[in-house]
Amino acid sequence: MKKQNVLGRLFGYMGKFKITMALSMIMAAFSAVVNLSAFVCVYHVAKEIVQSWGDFSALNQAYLTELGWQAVFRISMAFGTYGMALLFSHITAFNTVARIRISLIEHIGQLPLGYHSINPSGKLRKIIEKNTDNLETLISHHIPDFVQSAVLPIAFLAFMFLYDWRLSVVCLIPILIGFILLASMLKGESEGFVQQVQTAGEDIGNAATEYVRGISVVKTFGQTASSFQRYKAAVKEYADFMTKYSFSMENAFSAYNTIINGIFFFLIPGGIILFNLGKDLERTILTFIFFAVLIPLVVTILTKIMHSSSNLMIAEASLVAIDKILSEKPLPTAVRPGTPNGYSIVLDHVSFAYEAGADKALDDVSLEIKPGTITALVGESGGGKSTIANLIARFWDTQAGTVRIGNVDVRDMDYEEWMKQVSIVFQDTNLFKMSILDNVAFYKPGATREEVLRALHLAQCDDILEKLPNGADTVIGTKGVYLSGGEMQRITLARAILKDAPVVLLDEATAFADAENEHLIQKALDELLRGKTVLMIAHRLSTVIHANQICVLEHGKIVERGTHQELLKASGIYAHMFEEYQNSISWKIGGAAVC
Amino acid sequence: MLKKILHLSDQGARTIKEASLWLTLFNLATLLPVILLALIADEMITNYFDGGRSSISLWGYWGIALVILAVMFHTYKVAYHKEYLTSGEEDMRLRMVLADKIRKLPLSYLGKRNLSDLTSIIMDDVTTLAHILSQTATELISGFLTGIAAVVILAFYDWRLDISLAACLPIVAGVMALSKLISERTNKKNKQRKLEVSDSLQEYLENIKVLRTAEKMRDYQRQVARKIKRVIPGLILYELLAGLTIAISYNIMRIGLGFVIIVGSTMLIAGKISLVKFLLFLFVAVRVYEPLTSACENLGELISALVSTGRIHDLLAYPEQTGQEGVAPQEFDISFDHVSFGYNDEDVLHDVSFTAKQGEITALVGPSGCGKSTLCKLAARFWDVQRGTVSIGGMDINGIAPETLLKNYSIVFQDVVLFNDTIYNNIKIGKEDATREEIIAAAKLARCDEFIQRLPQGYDTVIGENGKTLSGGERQRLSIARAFLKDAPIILLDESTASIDPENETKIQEAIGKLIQNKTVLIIAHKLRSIVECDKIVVLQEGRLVETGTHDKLMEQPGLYHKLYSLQNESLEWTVTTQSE
Repeated sequence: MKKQNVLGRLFGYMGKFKITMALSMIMAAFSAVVNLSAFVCVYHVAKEIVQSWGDFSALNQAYLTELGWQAVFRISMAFGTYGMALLFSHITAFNTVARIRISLIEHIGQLPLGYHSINPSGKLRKIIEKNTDNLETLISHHIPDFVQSAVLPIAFLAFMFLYDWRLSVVCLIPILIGFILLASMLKGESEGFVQQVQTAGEDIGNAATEYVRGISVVKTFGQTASSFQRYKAAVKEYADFMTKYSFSMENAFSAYNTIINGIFFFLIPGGIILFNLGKDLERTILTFIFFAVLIPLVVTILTKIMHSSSNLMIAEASLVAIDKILSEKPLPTAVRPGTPNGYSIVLDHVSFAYEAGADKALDDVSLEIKPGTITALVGESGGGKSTIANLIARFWDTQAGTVRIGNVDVRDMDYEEWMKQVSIVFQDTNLFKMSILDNVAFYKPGATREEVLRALHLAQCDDILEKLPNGADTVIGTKGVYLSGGEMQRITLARAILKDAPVVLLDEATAFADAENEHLIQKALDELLRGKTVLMIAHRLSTVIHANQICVLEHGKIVERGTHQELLKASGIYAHMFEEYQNSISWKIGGAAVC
Repeated sequence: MLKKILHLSDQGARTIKEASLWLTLFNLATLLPVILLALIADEMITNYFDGGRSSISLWGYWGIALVILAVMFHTYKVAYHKEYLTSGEEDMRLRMVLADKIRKLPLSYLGKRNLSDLTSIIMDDVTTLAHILSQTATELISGFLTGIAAVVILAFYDWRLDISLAACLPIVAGVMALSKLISERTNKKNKQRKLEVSDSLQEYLENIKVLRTAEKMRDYQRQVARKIKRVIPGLILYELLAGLTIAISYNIMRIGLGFVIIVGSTMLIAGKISLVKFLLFLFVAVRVYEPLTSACENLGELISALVSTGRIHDLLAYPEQTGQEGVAPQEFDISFDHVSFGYNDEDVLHDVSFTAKQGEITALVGPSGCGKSTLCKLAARFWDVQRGTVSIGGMDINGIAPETLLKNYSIVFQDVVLFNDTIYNNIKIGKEDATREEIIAAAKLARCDEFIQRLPQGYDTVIGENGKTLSGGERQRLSIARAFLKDAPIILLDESTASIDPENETKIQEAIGKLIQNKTVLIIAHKLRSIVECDKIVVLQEGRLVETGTHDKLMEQPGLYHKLYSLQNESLEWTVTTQSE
C-alpha cells in the first residue's frame, strides 16, 4: 500500500514524461517475456533431443543450430529491450527530477521571506539536490525492476497453461514464500526501523559535529576525554544498532536467498511424482526440463527486487521532505491591490509569535513612522527589534493587528510593488557571481552605466573599483578577486542608493568593519538615507541620538519612546543603557578601569 | 589491494575475504542443483525410452536436494554474518581513526575546511564504505570467483563444451574497459554541469531575500531552471553509452549459450558426449553468467564509491604536526623573527619581526586583511611558519608538540565553542581537576555568575548544541571563565569579542580586563580607542609591519595609525540623519 502511495505521488510529478515512463514499463515487461521465450528455445533443443532418443544421429543439426542462435538472439532482444526500458526510465527520471527541482525552486521563491530566515539555505539545498537524487534511482532502476518482477509470475502463469499447470504451481510455491519473506522483512524495516536508523544517524551526526567543532577547544585545553567519549559512545551505539539490526535479519535474508534459489527443491519431487504417476510421460519430461532451464531467470529477478525494495523506504522519506516544502503556503497575494497614500508606516496593535504557542515576539505593539523621519529601535537582543522590521517587509504576516503603509494594509498591497518601495540594508551582504555593475543594477535593470557608476561613487566604492582588474566590470567570485566584508557592504549600499526606494529598513552592522570601511560606510549611509523614511535597528546608541523617535523594546513591547533628550530626562531604561554605552566606549584594555 | 582502497584493518580484510569465500561457496551451491536436475532428466528419459516403466526413487534425490538447500542456507548465513560484522566493526573503527586523526591535524586545517565537510567524511563517506563492505565487495569478489571456479571445474568434465561456454568472456573484459574509457569523458562534463547547478542553487537560496525584492526573481529562476535542464542531455548520453556497452557485454557473455547448444548438439549427434553431459551444460549455461554479471554491476558500484574512499584517504594522509612533548618554557616572551607566511599561493605575511613581552599588552592593528589574525594564530602554531621563526621564551615553537605548547595559552576569539553539556562542565574544560569552588570563582571573575544564577538549574543547566540557549555575550563570557580557570601565561585575544553583545559590552570588558593582568597578551584590535594604553602597538598593512610603538609615539607621526585613529574618532561622532549636507 505504501508502495502504491510513493509511486502514485511520483507519477504525479512526471508530467508529460509519464509517457516515457509507460514506455519504459512496457519495454521492461516485454523484456521479461522475451527473456522467458529465450529459455523456450533451450527447451526446444531438449525436446528435439528427447524425441530422437536412441538415435541421435537422426537429429536435425540445422534446426538445432538455428535454435542456438535463436536463443542468443532472444536474449539479446531481452537485454536490448531492458536497455531501452532503462533508457526511457532514465529519461523520465532525469526530467522528473528536473521538474521537481524547478517546481521546488519556484515554490520556494513564492514563500514568505520569513521561511528562509528559519530554514538555512544548506538544508533547503540538500532537499533540492540529495532528496531528488534518491527519487532518480527509484524511477530509473527500481520501477522497471518492479515491473519485471510483477510481469514474470504472470508470464509464468501463461506458460503454465501452455505446458503443465501442475509443475507451474509447484514452482510458484517457493516464489510465493519468497514474496512473503520479503514482505515480512520490509515490514520489519518500515516499522520503526527507518525511524530508529534516522535517530541513531542524527545522534552520531550531532556528536561528530560537536566533536569536530570542539577540536580547537580540546586541543587548547589539553582535553581529550569528554567530548571524545560522547562521540565514541554515539559511534559505538550506531554501529551496534546497525549490526544488531542486520543480525536480526540474518535468518530472514538467508532464508529468502535460499528459497529463491531453492525452486529445484520443489521441482524435483513435483517432477518425479508426476513421472511416477505414469501419465503423458513425454510431456512431463519436457516440462521438467523446461522448468529446470527457467529457474535462473526467476532467481535473477527476485534477487534484484530484494535490493530495490529497501530503496523504496529511502525514496519515501525523501518524497515526504519534498512534499513538505511544496505544501508550505506561499505569501497570499492581494486580490485588489490598494495604492498607498504616501509612505507613513503604522503598526496598529500588532502581535506576532514565530511559532504557534511560542512566546510572543511582539505583543500589542503600536508605532507610527512619519515620512522623512528616522525611527530607531533599541533594546536587548530578542526584544523584538528585528521582528518589527520583518513585519514591515512582510517576511511574515501579523497574527493580530495590522501594518499599514500610507493607510493601506500591507496585506492589501501588491507585494512586488511594495518591495520596490523598500530598501533592506545589511540583512545580508551576499553578492551574485556577476559583474559589480550588474550586481548594483540588480533592483533597477534598466539603469544606464552612468547611473550605476554614480551610485557606486556615492556609496564610496571608488577605491574598490580602482583596485580591481576590470573596475566595475569585474565579476565577483572570480579568482583573485577578494572583497572584505566592509567592501561588500559598500557595494550593497550602492545597490540601495541606485534603487532609491523611499523607505529604508536598516540593521546597523554588528560585524566589524575596519576603521576605514566603517568611515566610508557611514558616508555611504548619509547618501542613502537622505530624504527617506527610515527604520533603524540600532546597536551603538551614539548613532541614533539625532533620531526623530527612539523606541526601547523589551520582551516584545515598546517600553519607552521619545527623542534622545526626552528619554535621558526620563532616567529610565534608555538612560541607563546610554550610560553603559558611554562606559563601554571609554574602555581601555589594560587601563586603570580594571578593578 | 582491496584492503588499501577500503581502508580495512587486517582483521577486517581477513573477514571480508572469508565472507567472499563463503559467498562463493553459496554461489557454487546454487549451481549444484543443475547436476541433480540433469541426472533426474537423464533418468526420466532413459526410463521412458527403455520402456522400463519403473518409477524413479524420489527420496534419494530429494534428500540430496535438502542437503544442498541446507548448504545454501548455511553458507549464505555465514557470509552474511561476516559481511555485516565487518561492516559494523570497520564502520566504528574507521570513524574512531578519523576522529583521532582530525585531532592531530593543525588547527589551521580545521579552520580551512568547513565543519560540514569534515563531518560529512565521518558520516556519509564512511557510510558509503560500510555499504560497500556489507554487500558490494563480497559480491564482487565472489561473483568473479564463482564464474572462474565454475569454468575451471567444468573444464575437467568436458573441455570442448567448457570452451564454448567461456569463449566470449575475454571479449567482454575488453568491451567493459572500452566503455569506461568512453563514458569517463562524458561523465567529467556531467560532473562539471552538476556542479554549476549546485553553485547556482546555493546562490539562489542565499540571495533569495534580494531576489524576492527585485523584479528579477522570474529571470533568475528561469536561469537556474535552464541550468538544471542543461544537465539532462549529458546524463542521458552517458546512460546511453554506459547502458549500451553494458548491455552489449552482457549479451556477448551469453553468446556462449548458443555455442553450447550448437557444439553440444553436433557432438551429441556424433555420439561424442552423453545426453546427461549435454543437459548439464545446457542447464549450467543458462545460469553461469549471472554471478559474473552481478560482479560487473558491483564493480561499477565500487568504482563510484571510490570518490568517498578517496576523501577518506586524503584526510588520513594529511601531515600531522609533531614536536617535543613535555617541554615547558620558563619565560613567555613571544618573538616573531623574520616571519613570512602564506596560504596556498597567496602571501599573507612578509618578513615580520617583533616581540610581545611577558607582562605587557601588545596590540595588533591594521585594515582588514592586513594579517593581524594570522599573526595571532601563528603565535599558537595553528600553522607552521614558512620562513623565519616564532619562539616563546627563546624556544622555537615549531619544535614543541602542539598540545604541549597550547598548555601555555588561553585563546579568546569570537568563535566560542561550547558543548551540549552543563555550564559547570563547560567551564571545567579549562582545568580538568578544578574544584567546584574554583569553577564558581572563575565564573564570577568572568561576570557569568549572575546570568548562571538566573538559569533554571544554575550551574547544572544543560546549554544545548554549541550553547544555543545562551546569548552571544553569555557564551563569550563562559569562554572567558574557562580562560580564568586555565590561568595560562599567554593570552591571545580578539578585542571584538567584547562587542559581540552590545547590550552587555561593559561586562565582557571588565572580565577581559581582569583576565589579562600580568600575562603576555597579544590582542587583535579593532577599536583603537580601547588600546591607547597598551604597552606596544604593532601596525600592519598588507602583511608588512609598518609602524610600531606606543599610542603616544605613533600619534606623533602622520602614519597609518594616526589616520585610522582619526577616522575612527570621526565615526564615533556619526549619527544617522535624513538631512545630511
